[in-house]
Amino acid sequence: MGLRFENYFTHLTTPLVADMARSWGVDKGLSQRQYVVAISCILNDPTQIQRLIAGLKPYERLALEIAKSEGGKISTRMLAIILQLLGVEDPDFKTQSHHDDAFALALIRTGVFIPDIKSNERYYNPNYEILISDERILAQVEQAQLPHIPLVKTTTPEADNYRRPASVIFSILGFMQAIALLGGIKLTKSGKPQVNSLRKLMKAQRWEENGILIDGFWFPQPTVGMITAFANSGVLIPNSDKSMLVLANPVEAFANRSYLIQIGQILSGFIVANEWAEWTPTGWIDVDRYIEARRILLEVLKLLPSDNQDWYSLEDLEQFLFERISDRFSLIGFIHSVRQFQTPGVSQIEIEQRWREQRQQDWQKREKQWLRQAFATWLYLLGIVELGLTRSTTTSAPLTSKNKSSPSNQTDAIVSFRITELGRALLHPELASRPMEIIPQPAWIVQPNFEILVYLDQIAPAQIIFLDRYAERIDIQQHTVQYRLTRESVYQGLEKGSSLAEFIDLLRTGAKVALPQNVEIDISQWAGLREQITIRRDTQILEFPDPQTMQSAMAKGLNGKILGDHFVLLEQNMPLIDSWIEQRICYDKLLASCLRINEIGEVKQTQAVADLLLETQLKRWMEPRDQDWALTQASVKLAIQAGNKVSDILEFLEVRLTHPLPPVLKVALTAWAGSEPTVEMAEIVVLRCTNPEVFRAIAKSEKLRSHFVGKLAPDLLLVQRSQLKKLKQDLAWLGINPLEQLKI
Amino acid sequence: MAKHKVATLHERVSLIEVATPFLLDTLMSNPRTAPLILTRLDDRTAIVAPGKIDELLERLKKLGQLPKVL
Repeated sequence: MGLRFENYFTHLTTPLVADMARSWGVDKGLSQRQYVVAISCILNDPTQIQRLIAGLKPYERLALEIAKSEGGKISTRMLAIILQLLGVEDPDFKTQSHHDDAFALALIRTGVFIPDIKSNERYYNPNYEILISDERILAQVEQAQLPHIPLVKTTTPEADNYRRPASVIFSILGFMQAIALLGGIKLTKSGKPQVNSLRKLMKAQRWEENGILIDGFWFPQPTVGMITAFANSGVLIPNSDKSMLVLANPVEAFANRSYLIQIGQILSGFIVANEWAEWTPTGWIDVDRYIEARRILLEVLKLLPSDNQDWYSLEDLEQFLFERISDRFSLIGFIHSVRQFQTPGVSQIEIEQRWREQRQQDWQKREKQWLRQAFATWLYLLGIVELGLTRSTTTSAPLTSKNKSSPSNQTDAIVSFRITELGRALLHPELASRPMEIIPQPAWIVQPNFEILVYLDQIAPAQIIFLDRYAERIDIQQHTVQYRLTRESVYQGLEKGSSLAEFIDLLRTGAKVALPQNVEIDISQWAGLREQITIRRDTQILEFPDPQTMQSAMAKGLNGKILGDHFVLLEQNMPLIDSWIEQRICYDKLLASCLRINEIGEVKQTQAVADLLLETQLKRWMEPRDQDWALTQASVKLAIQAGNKVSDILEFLEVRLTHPLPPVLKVALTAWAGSEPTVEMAEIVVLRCTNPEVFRAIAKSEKLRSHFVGKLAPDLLLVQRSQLKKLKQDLAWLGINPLEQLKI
Repeated sequence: MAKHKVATLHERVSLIEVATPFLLDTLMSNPRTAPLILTRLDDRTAIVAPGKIDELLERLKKLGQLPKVL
């Protein structure tokens, strides 16, 4: 929908439309439709619009200018807060319990704003959160010349730190490359990044889960923060089945955009990252307030003078924010009412004083701390602010696992800030006069040990992409990065499609000094190795019955590489010449079953097949026998010695046999391959008696029991060999002379 | 008229091609790579066992080779 009031009138109640119409000078007592027609007519007359604007109160006119600077659509709350920051607000609203709604209604009744209400909210729960101004009204409004907030500049700090645009881009591109290498971030069914996926990304970035130090400033949960920002900004998007987050565009395409677009995009993602926070608060926080807080902070930075490089005290900023918006904004989402401090006999002035003191205490513990963290995290990470530090805490104790997780290192040393050139360009794109980009130039030194020292203030994004493609990052400092060229990294880089000549040329062009000779020689050797072996996936090969037929086909226009004397390797994407093809065999499907085998390993081929693998595999594992083949212990042993595994022959037989493999042959194959099963055999003596009563008496006898090992069957006992003579004596005493053989 | 449909089309075949016949001889006799390389089509080209390309690539790299993959 365009920004025209006609698209929104139907969602308003008649009394509200009537109020708007009266501001435009329309008579009372009309129907809603008549009011709408009248207003629409007036909106087409610039003179009438200008007259209305001239009659607005100062804060109403400023509200309109602010709305124009935001594109004509603005949150009521943000508008109210900006006016408070500027010290321009109608005090009437502050005393009302729902002062945002009262503020919105007052602006709507001026006739120059309309709420963005959904039709089902019209009567029961009208929502004035978003205000819109008509594009015809905005056309008559001058570009906002907002006053600056009254922060006084402070002295130059003892030490300072900032990130160059190249460092920011380096971090962004490195993160994108890591995601690209992982193939994306897997999502759970509820759409959240899977923990394992995040861990892999963390490991690739060499980050710790709790946080990392960026130039001495603690950045909590960097993986979560960056993923959230990238997803919110559209750099990462869900894939088609929503199972993963993937890059919306290749890294190279992103790198080719201007710095402002790249960093601005990530900034927009950080602003709305409600799954991540700048700190670990001690109490409960309404996480939606983080988004509002970040927007407020950016507005404040926009309202600072943009034409100088003054430093501002962080303490002063915090105090300014407290004085201007602490009655309206809190990270816990609500502010205790003054009424809660009312006590009989206590004056209103004192009540308000107590309220204010309590509010200040809360602010010191909460909002003030958050503000410091915001400066130390995303504002610093994205190179928007330079941070001034006091030296007394910059030389703090070495980092330990305890103090790493506590935001008490450089972060506590921040005393002031100023907006960088990059920050000014992001906050005031209309004022950005010159491009900030660095064009490719000599930016590194390649050392004889294959390490590359890169200077971040001189490297262009395209060069970062180039180095990430061919080398491994080994160390990142504030102003330099170290890479290492390895055989594997150069190989992987060349595998991505460029040539050795292109690689060497770009490596030389970006180097401040000549490449070491040993490096060039080794790289050339590595690239040469790559020319020794080529693996081709999924090729198509035409096999002809004889060389003459093949030559005839080539003469008639068949394109391809000749292999041997009757094969042609067809070029990829070449249309098939069906007229030559008698049959097709596809090697990613099961090949034809064509063998029978018996228990002693004799193999017969039941039908002729045309695939190129059968004969090789038969020769590999079997001995030829006239027209047939045989699996023998000797042939299997030879195959195993040549490096084959028994699983290979079992897999082959499973595919090629027309019937199941005889189990005993499987036992034989496994044993011949070296995995002999354990089988036991021995001579034994048994006592058998088919008379159950006699058998039971002998088996249960106290005297005779010790002669037996166990019972093998209902009429069969296993005799201990060592007890045989004694057993015979005992049986003889019983009058029993056992036969020497079993009657079967 | 001579019969035209005389050829067999072998589809989705994975191949290994080498710079010298000696290199293919070596790979086809090395216990680490030989099981994965099957039918030789000429002195420098052979068919890779179906489904074994990635395993062959890993083994070649462990042997110090840097194969190009197309």
